[in-house]
Amino acid sequence: MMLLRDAKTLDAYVSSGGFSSLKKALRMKQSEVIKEISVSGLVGRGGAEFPTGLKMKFVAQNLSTPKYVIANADEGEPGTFKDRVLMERNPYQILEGMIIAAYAVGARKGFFYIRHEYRKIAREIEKEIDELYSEGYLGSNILGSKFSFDIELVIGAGSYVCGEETALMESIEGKRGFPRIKPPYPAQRGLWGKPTLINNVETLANLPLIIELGSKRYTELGTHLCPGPKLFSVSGFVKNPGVYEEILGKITVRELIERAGGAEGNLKAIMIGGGAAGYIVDKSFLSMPLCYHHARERGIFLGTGDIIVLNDEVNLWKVLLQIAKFFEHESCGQCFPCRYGTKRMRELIEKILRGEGKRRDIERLDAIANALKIASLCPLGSSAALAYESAMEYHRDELMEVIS
Amino acid sequence: MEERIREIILKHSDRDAKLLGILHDIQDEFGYIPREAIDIVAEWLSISPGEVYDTASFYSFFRFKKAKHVIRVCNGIVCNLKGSEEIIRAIKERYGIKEGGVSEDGLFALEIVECIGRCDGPPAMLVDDDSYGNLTPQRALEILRGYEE
Amino acid sequence: MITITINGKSIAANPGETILQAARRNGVEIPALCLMMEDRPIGSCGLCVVKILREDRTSYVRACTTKVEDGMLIETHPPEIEEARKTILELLAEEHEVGGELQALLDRYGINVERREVIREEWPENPFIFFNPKACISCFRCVQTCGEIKENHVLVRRGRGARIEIVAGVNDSLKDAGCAFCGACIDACPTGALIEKTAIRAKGPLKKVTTICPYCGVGCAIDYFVQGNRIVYARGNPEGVNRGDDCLKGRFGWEFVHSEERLKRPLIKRDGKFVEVSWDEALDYVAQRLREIREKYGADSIAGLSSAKCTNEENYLFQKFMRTVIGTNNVDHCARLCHASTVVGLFKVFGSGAMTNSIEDLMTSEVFFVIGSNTTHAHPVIGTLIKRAVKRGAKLIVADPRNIELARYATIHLRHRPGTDVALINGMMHVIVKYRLADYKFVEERTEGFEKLKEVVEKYTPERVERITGVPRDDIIRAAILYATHRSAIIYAMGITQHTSGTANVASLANLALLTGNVGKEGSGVNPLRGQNNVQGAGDMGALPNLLPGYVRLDAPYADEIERIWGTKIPREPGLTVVEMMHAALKGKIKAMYIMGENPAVSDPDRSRVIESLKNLEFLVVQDLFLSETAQLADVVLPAASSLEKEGTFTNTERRVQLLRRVIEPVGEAKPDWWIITQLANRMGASWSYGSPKDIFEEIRKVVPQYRGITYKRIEKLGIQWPCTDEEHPGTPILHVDRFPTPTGLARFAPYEYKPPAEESDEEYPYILTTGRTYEHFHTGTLTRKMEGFNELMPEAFVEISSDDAEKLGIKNGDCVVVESRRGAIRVKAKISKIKKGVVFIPFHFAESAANTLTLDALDPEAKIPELKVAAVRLKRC
Repeated sequence: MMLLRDAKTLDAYVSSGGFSSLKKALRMKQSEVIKEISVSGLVGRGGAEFPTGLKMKFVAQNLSTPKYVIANADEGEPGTFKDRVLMERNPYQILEGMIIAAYAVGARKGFFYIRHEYRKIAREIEKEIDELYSEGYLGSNILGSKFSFDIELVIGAGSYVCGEETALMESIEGKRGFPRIKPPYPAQRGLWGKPTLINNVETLANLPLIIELGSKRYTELGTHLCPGPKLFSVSGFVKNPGVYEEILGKITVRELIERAGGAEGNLKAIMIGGGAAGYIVDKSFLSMPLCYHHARERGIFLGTGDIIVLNDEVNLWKVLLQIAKFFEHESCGQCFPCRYGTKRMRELIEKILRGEGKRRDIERLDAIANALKIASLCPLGSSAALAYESAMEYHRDELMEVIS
Repeated sequence: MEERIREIILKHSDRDAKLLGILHDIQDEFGYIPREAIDIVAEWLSISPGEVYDTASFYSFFRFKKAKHVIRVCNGIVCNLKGSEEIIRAIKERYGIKEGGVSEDGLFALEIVECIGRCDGPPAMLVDDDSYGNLTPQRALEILRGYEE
Repeated sequence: MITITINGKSIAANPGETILQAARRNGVEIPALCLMMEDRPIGSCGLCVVKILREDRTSYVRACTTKVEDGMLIETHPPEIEEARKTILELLAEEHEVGGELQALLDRYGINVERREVIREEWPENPFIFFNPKACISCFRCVQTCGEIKENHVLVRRGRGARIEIVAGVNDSLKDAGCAFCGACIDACPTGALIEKTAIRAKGPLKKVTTICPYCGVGCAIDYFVQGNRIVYARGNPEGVNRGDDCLKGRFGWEFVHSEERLKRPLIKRDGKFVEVSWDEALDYVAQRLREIREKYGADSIAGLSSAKCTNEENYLFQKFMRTVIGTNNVDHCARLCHASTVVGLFKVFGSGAMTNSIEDLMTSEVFFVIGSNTTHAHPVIGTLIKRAVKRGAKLIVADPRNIELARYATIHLRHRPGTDVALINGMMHVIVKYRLADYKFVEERTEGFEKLKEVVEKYTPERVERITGVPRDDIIRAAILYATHRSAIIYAMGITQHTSGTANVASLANLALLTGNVGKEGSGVNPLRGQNNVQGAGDMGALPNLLPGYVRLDAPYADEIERIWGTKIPREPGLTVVEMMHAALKGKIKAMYIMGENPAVSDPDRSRVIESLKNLEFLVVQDLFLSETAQLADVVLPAASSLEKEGTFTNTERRVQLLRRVIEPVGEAKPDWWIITQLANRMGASWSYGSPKDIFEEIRKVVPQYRGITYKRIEKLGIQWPCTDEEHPGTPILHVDRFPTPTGLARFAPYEYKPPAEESDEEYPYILTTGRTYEHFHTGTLTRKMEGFNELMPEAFVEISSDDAEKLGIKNGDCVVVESRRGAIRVKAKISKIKKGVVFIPFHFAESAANTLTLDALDPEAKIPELKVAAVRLKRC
C-alpha cells in the first residue's frame, strides 16, 4: 500500500521512510519539484481530474504574494469516504505532501479545511500539526532550510458545496460558501485574492510518493494514460464495504467489487463517480478498467472514485429521489437554475413515486436537467442532473414503467 | 456570557481564518449561537451583525436554538438504502422530536443530514462529534440513552 | 480592438469588456435579471448564458461575467439555451409574484404558469419601505447595493438553496438592523418586491422634477416624482454631486411639504391670539411697524436673521433689505452658530473661507482626517463616500470623543476631550516638525510665518498633549505620521467650529495642512462640511453683519462699487451677530426683529434667555413654513414657500452653485421669501422690480465677483463651483492651486496656543456635555419632526453616556435622566454607548428637551460663535 499504509504516529511514519521526500524536495529547486510532479502525470483525486503539476506551475509563476496552499478534506460526496480513511490511517503523508507543495509554489501559509462531520479526525490532525511544529517539519526554517511554512486548521460547518474550491475559500474567509464565478481561477486569484494552490488530500498524499520514487518509476506504476495509485470507496450492496487502494487501470469494476466481497443479491446497477455527482450505469460497465481514460471513453467520469452497488431490490426512482433531496438540501441558492431546479426535480420525482407520474413530468425533468447543465453557476448545479440523465440512458425501460 | 464570548474571540485573534472557528467554539460552549454572541463577534470583526448571520445561517451545522445534544442521522444515499428511515422513526417516537426540532426537555435536537462519510458502516449517525455506524433502531436508542444522564 | 463573432456576425470588441457588453453595444439583446452594474456582475439568474464554440469543445458561459477573447465564436440564442431560459423563468414564475423587469421577460418568452403558494416570512414593520416577500426572487441586487455600494451591510441573505431569503440584520426590523433608509435597495429591485410605501398605490403617469435636497450642505440632486400637486416618491439623481446616492432625509424627508401643520395664510397676533389675515393687511402692518420703530429708535434698533435654508437670491435680497431699506448692518444668520469660525479662521490663513476641495475630489484622497464631524450622520452621502474609499484602501483618522460610525472604519481613533482640539493639532504638528515630515518646499515657496508656528508647536510634546487631551501619546505620533506622509484631506464640521476656540481650531487645521503641503492639490485640503443646504450661499450673499456680498469688508474700496450698483448708501458700521442681537434685545437695545426661516428659540445657546430676549421685543415678524417655537413668539407670521415650491439657487458645501426647480406649487397662500421681501421693501419706499429669482441672480452676478461667470443656463444640468469669473470660466474645483488670495499670494501660518473651554467640568458639574445632530432628524426638527416616519425612527431626545459613568450613577439604558447645567435642566432618556468617559452627548433637535437649555453662550472672541460643544453638566436619575 502506498497511500493506505498504517502510520498513525509520527514515529511510525518516520521509521517507514516518512519525510525523506520532504528532505529530498528541499534539496531540489522548486521548479524541479514541479517538473517531477508534472511528468508524473498525477491528476487531482477530488473529482475534477485536473493535472496537479500544471496547477502548481500556474501558482508558482504568479508573481503576486502571499501565496496559499489549501488541503481540501471537505469530503462530502455521498458514497465517498476514502479521504476519511486516509486521514485516519496515514495523516502525515498528506501533511508532508502539503509542505512539499508549499515549498514548490512558494507559499508560506496553508490551510487544512476539513468537514465538521470529521471533527474527531480534525482534532487528531490538529495534534499532528502541533507535533510537526515541535519536530521542525513546520514553522520557520523547516529542517534547517530557508523555507518556512505554517498550517492553520479550519473546520467546515455542514455544506457540501464548500468542497468546491472557490466556495471553500469563501468559507475560510468567513463567508457563506457561495462558489465564485471562474475565471479567475484560484491560481490567479484565490484565497483573499491571492494565488492559491488547492488540492484534495489524496492528491497531496501522492506528492511524497512521486518525490520518493521519481516521476519515472511513479508513471510505471499504472498505465501510461493514467498512472499512480487511487483510493476507491466501495459501498452499497456489497459484502465488505470499505476503501480499497488500487493501481489505476490495473483492475476492472467487477474485480473491485469482488475484492469487496462481491455483491449482496443480484447486482442491477452501479453508481460510479460520486454518489450524487455521479452516474447510474448498468452491468455493461463491470468490464471497464478503472482509470480516468477508460471512463471518459465510455462517457463518464471516475470522479472521486466511488462505487455504490445497487441490487435488484432497489427502486431506482427512490435512489433518484435521495439524490434529488441531496441536491435540494445542499444547493447554495446562489443561482436560480440550481436553487429552483433541484427543488422542482425532487417534487416531480416524489410525484412519480406516488404513482402519479405522467409523460409531461418526464419532459419537465428533461427541461430542468438541460437548464441545470447549461446555466448553473458551479459544478454542483451542472452535476445535479447527471444521475437522472444516466439512469434514463441505462435504465430507461424500468424507469418508464411507472409513467403513464 | 459576554465575558466568555470575549475569551473565545481572543483565542482566535492570531488566526487568519476567524469566523467559522469562533462560531464553532461559541456553539460548543452554549449549545447554539446566541443572538448576543452575533453582536459581539460582529463588533470585534468590524462587520455588521447581519454579515455574521449571513454566513452562520448558510451552514447547516450552526444552530440558533438551544439543545444539549444534537443527533444527526445520516440519510445519504447509502444509509438510506440500508434503513436510515427506520432509525429516524425510532428516534422521533422515543423523544417526540420533529425533524429540525428539539425535544421538550431541551436534551436532544434531531437533524436529518446528508452523507457523513460512514458509508462503510451504514446506517450511521453523529451525536455531537461522535459517530456511530451499523445501526439498528434498538442500537441507536441504546446509544442515545447514554447521553440522557 | 479585437474581433469576435456573435451569431455569425463579425463584431469589433474592446479588450476587457464582457460578452454582454459587446453584444448589447451591437444591438444583440441578451436577457439578464440579476445584473445591475456591468462592472460588478452577480451572476445569479443564469439567463444571460451563451454558447462558445471552440474547435475542441463547446461551452456555456455567463455573458455578464465572461470577458471577450479575440476570435471568440459566440451564439446567444441557440435552441437549448432558449429552452433553458424558458425553464428558469417558469421556475421563477411558479415560485413568485411577478412584476417589474421579470414580468417583461415572462411576456417576451410567452410564459404563463400558475403560481404556487410559497410561504416566505415578511419583514417586521418599518415606516418607509414596503417589502413583499412573495415577489422577492433573491437575486441579491439589493444585498449588493446595501453592502458593496452603500457600505451599510444591513440587507443580508439567510439560509440557502430554495429557502434562501433576504433579511435585515439578524431577522431584525430595518430600524433595529441599522438601516440607513437610503432607499438604494428599492432602486436595485427588479421585481417590485421593494417599494416606497408612498408609491404603492400610485397609478398613472408621474411627472419627474429634479431639484436640490432641502437638508444638508452636500447639495444632492433629487428626482421628485409628482402626481397632481403631491409628491409620490423621490430618489437620488445620478447626475448630481451625489451620483444617485441618497440618505434618509433626501429620500423620504419630503413629506413635510404636505404636512397639515403648514402655514397657509399670514397671521397677526391680536390679544395674544393669532388670526388669519390677507397678505396685503399683513405686509402693510409689518411695513408700518418697522417704519415706526425705525423712526422712534433708529435703524440700528432693528435686526434681521436671514436663513441658510433660503436661496441665494433671497439671502441677497434680505441683506440688501436690511442694509438699504431699514439702514442697518444688523443682519446675520445661523452660520454664526455653525461655521463663523471657519470663515474667520480659513480667511486668516488662506485668504478665503470655504471648503478648499470638492466632494468628487475626495475619492482620490489617500488619508482622511475626520475631526469633529459625525459624517455618516450629518452628511451621509459624503460619509458613504469615505466608507467606500476606506474599503478601497484609503486610511482614516477619526478624532472624536464619541464612538461615531466612522470610528469603525478608522485606522486610528483619537478620542480627545471636547475643547482640546488646538492642543491635539499642535501636538501633531510638533511630531511632524520633530521628525522632519513637513513639506519644506511647500512651506518655503507658498507660506509665511513658519518660524512663529515652530515656536508655538515646540511646546506641544506628545506627552503634554496626552495630559491635555487624554489621547495616548503613541496615537498622536501615529496619526501625525500617517497624515503627513500621504495625500491627506481634512474633513471637519461643528465639532471644530462651535467652541470659544473655534477660530483657533480652524486656523490650526489650516496650519497643519500648510505644513504638510496638503493644500491646493487633488485629494487634500481643508474641508469644512456645511450643515445647511445653503449656508455657504447665505454667507456668500453677505447675510453677515460685517461683510457685504462676496465677503467684501464694509470699509473696502469695492463697497463703494456695490453702493453704485445698488444706487443707495450702505451703513459702514458693522452690525450685531446672532448672539449679540439676543443680548441687545434683552437689554432693550434691539426693539424689532425680522426672522426669516430660522428658529433661534431652539437652536441658540442658553435658550431660556433667548426666549426672554424675543419676548422683550416690541415687534417680531417671523417668516416660516411652520409655526415654529420662534414663530409662536411673533407678532406677525408670514407663510413661506418651501424650497420644493420655488426657483432659485443654493450653493453647496463645495461652493457649487446649483439650480432649484419648482416641484409643486406652494401650498395655500404661502409665497416664496424673495416675493415677500420685495413686497415689504416696496411698501417701505423702495422700488424693486424683481419679477423672478433669475432677475435677482443677474444682479448678484454684477455684485459678487466669485459668481460673475455663472448663469442659470450654465447650471441647468450641474452646478458650477465658485470662483467663476466669466462665462467661459469652468469653475474652481480646487482652491489655492497656484496662489492664495492674500495680498502677497502666500498663505500665512496662524499659530494658536491651547486655551481651555469657557466652562470645564468640576465637582459640582462633573460631566462635559457635547451636542450635535442625529441621522434621523435635522436641526431644530422644524421639518423632520413634522413627519411620522421620522418620529417613529427617533421619537425623543436621549443622552449618550459611557457604561462606566452610567454604572457609577446607577443609570440603566432607557432610564429617565435629569441633565442640569448652570443655565437650566432637562429630562431625557439615557442611552449607554461607547462615548468617552466623562463626556455626555445630547442631540439638539428636540424643543421639549432642548439641549440648548443647558449650553452657554460664551463666544469665540473673533468669530463670535458660541461654544455649543462644551458645557459642564451633572446627571441624576429622574
